[in-house]
Amino acid sequence: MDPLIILSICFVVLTLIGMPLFVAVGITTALALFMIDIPYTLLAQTGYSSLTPFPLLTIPLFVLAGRLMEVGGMAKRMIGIATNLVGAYRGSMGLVTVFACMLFAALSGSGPATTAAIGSVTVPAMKREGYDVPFAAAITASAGALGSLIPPSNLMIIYGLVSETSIPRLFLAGVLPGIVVTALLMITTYIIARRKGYGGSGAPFSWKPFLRASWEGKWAIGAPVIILGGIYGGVFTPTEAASVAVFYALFVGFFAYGDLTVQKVIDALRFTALLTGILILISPTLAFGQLSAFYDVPTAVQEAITSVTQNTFLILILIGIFYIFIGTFMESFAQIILFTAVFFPLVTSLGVDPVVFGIFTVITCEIGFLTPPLGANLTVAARLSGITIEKVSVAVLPFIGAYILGMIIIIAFPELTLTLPNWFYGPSK
Amino acid sequence: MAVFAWLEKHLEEVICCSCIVIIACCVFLQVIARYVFNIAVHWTEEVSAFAMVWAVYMGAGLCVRERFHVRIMVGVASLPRMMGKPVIFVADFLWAFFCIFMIKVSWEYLGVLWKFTATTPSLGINELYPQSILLIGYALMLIRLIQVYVKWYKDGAHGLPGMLEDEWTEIGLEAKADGEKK
Repeated sequence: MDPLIILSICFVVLTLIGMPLFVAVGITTALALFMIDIPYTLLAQTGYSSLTPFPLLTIPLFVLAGRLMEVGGMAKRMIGIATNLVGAYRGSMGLVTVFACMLFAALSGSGPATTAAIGSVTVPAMKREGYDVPFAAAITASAGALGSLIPPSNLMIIYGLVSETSIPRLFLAGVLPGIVVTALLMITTYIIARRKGYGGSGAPFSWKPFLRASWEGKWAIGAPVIILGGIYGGVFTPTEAASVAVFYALFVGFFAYGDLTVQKVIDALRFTALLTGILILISPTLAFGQLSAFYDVPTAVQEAITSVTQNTFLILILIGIFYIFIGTFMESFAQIILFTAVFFPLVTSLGVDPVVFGIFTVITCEIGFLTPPLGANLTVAARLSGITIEKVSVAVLPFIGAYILGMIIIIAFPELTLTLPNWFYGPSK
Repeated sequence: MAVFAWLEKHLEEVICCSCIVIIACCVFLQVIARYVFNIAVHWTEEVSAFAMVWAVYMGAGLCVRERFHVRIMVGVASLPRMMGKPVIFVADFLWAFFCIFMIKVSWEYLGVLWKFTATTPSLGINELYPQSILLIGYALMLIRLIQVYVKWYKDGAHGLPGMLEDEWTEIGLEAKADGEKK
């Protein structure tokens, strides 16, 4: 039997019996090493070295910063701004959720974290206004996924590390697609809310309360300005920006808003500790990614796909479908590490810009956040609203449609992704 | 004795959180040093990289106890309860086996580092010390895994070891029947 098939079966079986993913990948890697007779010490070596790249530190730091900003009162202020901006339209609370998620996404790098930060406030509010609970949860889950598309983004950091693409470039490239997807999500929310007749509760837009809310939220809005402005002003690297964000959040939480307490900081640290532990997944996955070259996986995939079609658009759609399928049960970090190694040579040989492929990868992973059995955003949204994942996953379908549309737009119009980074850094070589 | 019990409960948490604090401070220090004192500091990058690896492995140990690792339980939960349990036992047994395997591999790897001393580029410490986390990390994970099982057995072996009953309910189908039994 083909060794690749044996490895795939091994991995799938181990995953299905409920083994933690990093162990399933680890055992599969050990088997792969055994079959081509490479010493197992490779696993130990990558076990250490794969976790040391400097950009990787950005992930726990942004998790911590995001958590501190959430409990430190910034999320609350951002919802305030959003309420004043879009509060008067049909389905206002839904629109507020999407918009606030977009704002919060600019200071958080993770989808589930954004869902939790904004949803913990807006889901109860939507419930009070008589929204269908699954609908409310679905809005929150799907809008929270923006956290990964709008910079900073943990997924882009992983992609940038694996594909050796510039991380600041990727961050900048996410801005316009992020805004487009936000618009698509808001339209979806509006249409559904209209059909179900959810009213707008807020006062119609007027400058005065909006400016007041913005002034109150100035510290919260300051965070993305410092983070992104610092990175693009060339003041600091993304990793440094993340540490600045941590200290900024502490400063604002303690001195400007006064919502932070020492106990809250400790809790935020403990939360970060748990999420940092999950990063162990990276080490066996990277080891496996290195092996995929030994097994000639990229070449085999390239031949298989180009024999079907040579059309770049169709190939990307095919990869998209595959990614979405894999994303239903695969953790997104692992997905990016494993499959970027496989598809990256193929798409770059077709002339697809690495940055575009990065944004494409991220948006497919976001759809993965929204699909069971393993959909982090669904889990969070279901917990927040106290209903089962099954119910949310049905209600979230129209929003997945919006994301798929967004994905197709990204494939069809690479300029959308590339305009900002090319304008800022000049065209890539 | 109280100190020991506290450490038993919070050891990984304390180390992991301290490491995260160290990372945040080191990276921030680097920015401050560059702009306020106009000097380039190099050791911060190395220290924070060590702290990162330690934080990840300690966090992984913590995740074992909290059952926070990413795993797909739908397959197991859709099995009848009688079968779900043995399947998860097999999965956890293989997990323990992997830990032992990694301990052995790390031991050999560290042995090589011991023989051919390498020092880190900017601090000049022996690479052996930071990298010993491989061995420590997997050993801790193994211990925590065994602990989860011991506790589960002592508590009367209800549900799945280390897994909250409501978590099982959330994804499982037959929790109701079990609730009535209690």
